[in-house]
Amino acid sequence: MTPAAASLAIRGLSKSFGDSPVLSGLDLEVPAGTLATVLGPSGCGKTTLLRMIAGFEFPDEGEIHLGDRVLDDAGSHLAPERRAIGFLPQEGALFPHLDVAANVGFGLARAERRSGRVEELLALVGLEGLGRRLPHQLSGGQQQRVALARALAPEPGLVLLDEPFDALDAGLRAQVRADVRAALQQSGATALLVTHDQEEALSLADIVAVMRGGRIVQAADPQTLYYAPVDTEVAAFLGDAVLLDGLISDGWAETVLGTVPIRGAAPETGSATVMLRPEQISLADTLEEDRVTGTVVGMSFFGHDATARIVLAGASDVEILARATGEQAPRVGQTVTLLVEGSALAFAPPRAGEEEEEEEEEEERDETTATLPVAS
Amino acid sequence: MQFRAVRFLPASIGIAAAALIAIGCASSSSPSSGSLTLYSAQHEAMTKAFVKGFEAQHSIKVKVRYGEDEGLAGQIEQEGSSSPADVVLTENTPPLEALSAKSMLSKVDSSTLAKVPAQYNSAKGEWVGVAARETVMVYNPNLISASELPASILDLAKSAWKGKLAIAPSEPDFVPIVSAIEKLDGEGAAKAWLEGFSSNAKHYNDNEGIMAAVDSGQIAAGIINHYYWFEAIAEQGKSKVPSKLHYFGNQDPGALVNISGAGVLAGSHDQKLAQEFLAYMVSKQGQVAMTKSGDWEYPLNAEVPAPPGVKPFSSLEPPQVGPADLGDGSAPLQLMQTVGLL
Amino acid sequence: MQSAGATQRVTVSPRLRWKRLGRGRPPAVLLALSAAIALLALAPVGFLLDQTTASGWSEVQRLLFRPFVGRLLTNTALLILVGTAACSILGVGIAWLIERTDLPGRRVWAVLAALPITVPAFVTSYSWVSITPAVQGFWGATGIVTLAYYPLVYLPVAAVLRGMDPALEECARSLGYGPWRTFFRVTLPQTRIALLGGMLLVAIHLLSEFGAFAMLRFQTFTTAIYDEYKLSFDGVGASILASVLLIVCFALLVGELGLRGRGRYARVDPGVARPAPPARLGRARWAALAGLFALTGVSLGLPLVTLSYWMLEGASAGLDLGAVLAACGTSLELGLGAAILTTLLALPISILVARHPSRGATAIERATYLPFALPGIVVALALIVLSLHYLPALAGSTSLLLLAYATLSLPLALVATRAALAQAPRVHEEVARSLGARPLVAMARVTLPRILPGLGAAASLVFLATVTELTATLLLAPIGTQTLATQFWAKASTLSYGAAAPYAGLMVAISALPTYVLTRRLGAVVHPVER
Repeated sequence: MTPAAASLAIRGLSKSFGDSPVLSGLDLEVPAGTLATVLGPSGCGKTTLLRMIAGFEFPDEGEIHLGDRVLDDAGSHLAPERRAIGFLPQEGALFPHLDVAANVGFGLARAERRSGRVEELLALVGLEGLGRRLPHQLSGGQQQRVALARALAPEPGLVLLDEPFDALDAGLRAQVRADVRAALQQSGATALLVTHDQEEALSLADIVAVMRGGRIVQAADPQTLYYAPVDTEVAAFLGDAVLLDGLISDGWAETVLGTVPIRGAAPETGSATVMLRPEQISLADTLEEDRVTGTVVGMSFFGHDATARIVLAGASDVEILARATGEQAPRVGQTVTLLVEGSALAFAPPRAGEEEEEEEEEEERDETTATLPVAS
Repeated sequence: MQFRAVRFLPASIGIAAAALIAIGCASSSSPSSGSLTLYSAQHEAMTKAFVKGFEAQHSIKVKVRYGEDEGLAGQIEQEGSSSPADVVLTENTPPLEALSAKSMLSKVDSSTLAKVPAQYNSAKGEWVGVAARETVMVYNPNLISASELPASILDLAKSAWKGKLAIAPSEPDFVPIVSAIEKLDGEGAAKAWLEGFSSNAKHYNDNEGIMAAVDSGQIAAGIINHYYWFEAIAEQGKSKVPSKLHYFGNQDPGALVNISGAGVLAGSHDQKLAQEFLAYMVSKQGQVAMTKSGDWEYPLNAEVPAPPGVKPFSSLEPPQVGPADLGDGSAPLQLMQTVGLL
Repeated sequence: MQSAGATQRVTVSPRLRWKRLGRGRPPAVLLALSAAIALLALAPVGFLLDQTTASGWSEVQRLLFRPFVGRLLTNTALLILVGTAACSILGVGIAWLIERTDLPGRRVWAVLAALPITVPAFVTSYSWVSITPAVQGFWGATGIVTLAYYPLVYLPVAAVLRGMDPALEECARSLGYGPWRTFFRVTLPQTRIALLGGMLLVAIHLLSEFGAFAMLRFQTFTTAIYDEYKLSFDGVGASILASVLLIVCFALLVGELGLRGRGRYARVDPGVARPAPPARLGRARWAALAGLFALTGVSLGLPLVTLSYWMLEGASAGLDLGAVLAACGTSLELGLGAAILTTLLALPISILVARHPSRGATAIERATYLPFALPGIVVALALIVLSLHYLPALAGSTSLLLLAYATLSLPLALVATRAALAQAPRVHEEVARSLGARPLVAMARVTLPRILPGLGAAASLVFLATVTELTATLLLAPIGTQTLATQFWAKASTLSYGAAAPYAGLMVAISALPTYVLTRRLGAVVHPVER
């Protein structure tokens, strides 16, 4: 039952709608059989990318290859129905006039429809026995699963999913995610999923590709992406980041939190932006000499942990985010000692004259990308 | 449930549509020998009488297209040589004169022309008079006493008649009256009369409307052709028609005799048959059939008596205005537009 | 993973290659077809312009600035202002009573309130005129057409009121707005688009209505055009009047679009979570009931009773059953032919607008709305002259008549097919294609089953409009062809009410039920200028 999973290779893909560029020279490689996620803010062109891979949009420039077949290049465009790529649009799009079994069997030849493959697929997504139901009689999660079964039925080499869990309740999401991942793995197909939810991207995929400004900024496995982001924006996008000014010398950085070792590539000397994750900063209420201290100005309790906002003594314009476990969370107004564990990343400092904080800059960029027209 | 037949639906609809269109094209009026096409502006009763009589005599099918005087003539002009019309029958003479001026009518057989007094035929011999109608004033005796009746139609423009009159400017029957006044008293008088009359009168669509209004007492009087009144009585009974007719006589323009005529189209495919139809219309049988059809117009064949009850033709005292004087009607039309009636 | 040397080029067919060069623009065939159909719709407009320019400026001036035209403009302006206002007030009031209050028997009233639209206006006028000639003239005419056309406002507004979220009004009330203020500041603006659309429809119907006004002796542009035609076939006078009519309609269309703003047409959602609690009428309910009884009696009861009376009279006086059946058969045939033809013509344009939206597509679609505003006679005139000059084989044939019907009712079909296509969004076809179906197969398997009911509705709309069409048929019917409408007109205009009754009765019988079902079903969607 394992289909011939194919690898996806995209090179230099560009697309503009009118005067607005949506994709600008996008490159992406997805090895066969992996589940990859494209992560990006709303309106950044993820859906356009997916539609182009499926063949519903024509690229202005660039190439798309699936396995050893050329889907798109300068001289040719393969029609969608010849691509054998499964497509799961954002809203599921089950055919409302057909029942579940007919939906799932839509892409199969007539003989195959009766061969029991439909029941196999329904079992794969956990919906045995629901073949006679009509789409409007199913819940949102069930509809998504039927859509997945339908896409998997003709054994495609690649499956494309467009923010498939967006419309589901939060409580349901985790379960459906897990089921979809299991089904995809069992089917063995290569899968490309686009989302704006970083938690989803990190937890689901083998490869995460961060998309910004119409290009892929970094594509790697989730751990690499989280611990070795290629710039501060990616860092901030994938989770909370503590960004400090620092002076680099000899593999160490002087920051307001003390001297921190630098890992990975870094400028040899000079000023840089140093990035830490909040979980690297531990808090203690014992005040020790020549340790960095600060006052807690805000607390957010999440149940499984808490995030504290701390203003440092001696550097009142810097706010640090730190994590603590729920029980040991400090109170607002408490003075605490901060200790950095592990190493930090160093990035080139922002150009002189740009006073904005990284987060503000990223917010701005989110706004501009949000206004780009996205092909529906 | 899947729609498998759906595949064939677009194709079958396309075929059905194509078939319908093909049938439609096929049913277009193509002239075939052994049939005659008549364009008639006359009333159905008279036309049907002629058609049935002719069909019985000749075993030929006659197809009729009904219309209004000018409309039919205009259509024939537009259709030109591809017009299917063989014979045209109108209520008044201006459209025939218009067609004649454009050389679209064939000369009528002289034997046909001879059956009708010459003054009722085309001067060029291109159409023949079939029936005549007298211009009359219909009035409601409850609203107008006999002493108030006007001596001349020109009196109706006076202010004494304000609010008492009905006018139907789009009636083809009205145009010749204006022509007659123009011929007899000049354009200035005609214009003044039109202005006075229209300011005194309420607008109606046609003669039937005027009749109904006078009968019901809405309006005191109106100008129509005589036969409408007789038809109304025949249909509804004397009790329902309280109105009376006033004949102007005295060679007043209001006593104008309108001629209903017919001609053969020069482009007709069967000239012989068309001429025979004309001959039938003015023959004794044809004219008798006409008078018995429930149409109360005067037959022009001298051998045929008028329908019972109408004022004798010889006593009408019409003005000396003939079809040639009435022309093709374009001048009065322009006058009516200038005055604001149209 | 692949290397350039091992790449296999899949053969791309030339057709695909050509499509690719278009960079995803709509297929040229679709575009060409749609443009051709739009040209058909624009032909009468072109004809008018040609006529006007051909006759020289002095002649145009003379005919355009004569006192008669001034009178027509006044009549028409008054008619539109008073008629539209009356229909709006009546329509909104009744919609509110039925949808938002605790009026007893609301479901029955909902049916009765919509019924007047099922009876053609000229049949209603005929009924009234046969009773008393006092209804003739401005007030009678305006009153009768108001009673005939108010459902055009009532139906869409009622649909919006039914589906409106009560939360808006509740917020207003919580902010201190009293019930009347809430109605005018919150509820009514929500109905703006539906109301404007309904008013536009009423205005356009009023402008192009012929039979009713002819019988009621009220001169409008349309009756004047018919009179001009009677007096001179292709006269410049008629064309000038038609041009003025076209300009007025165009102004109305533009005005409505402008007033509507950028809002989308509110679609009725039958599954609203929470219906609004009905307003209590208290003692006012008796007045409301009395009013509704009177309205139904006057708009529906009286015409139908009179019609039945005349049918009995006519039957006793001798019924020409053969002629009646022949006319009935012809009407049905023509209606069916027009329905199929127009629906087919509407498909390419709706597909173009729904699947490949662009300025050009919208322009093509809007172009087809113009003939909707023209009286049937102008379209017929244009087609006769054009066919005589360019396609003599077509002149005088049934096909030409069908083409005229198609031109006149294309917007009706377009509205219904577009609404149907909206139910079948593009993404479904794309998914079908991703599953291996070729484009046409995808459309047939996925889109067509969804839009078939809508196509049926489109065909029915055209059928009904055709069965009751009068002026184009009078001009274009092949020699010897008589329909119910033309026979009715011939008899009614000679005041033979009894003889006219069977034809009117059959027209009402054929059109009443389907019209009712359709307006119920489509309700707010029957609107020629929908985005």
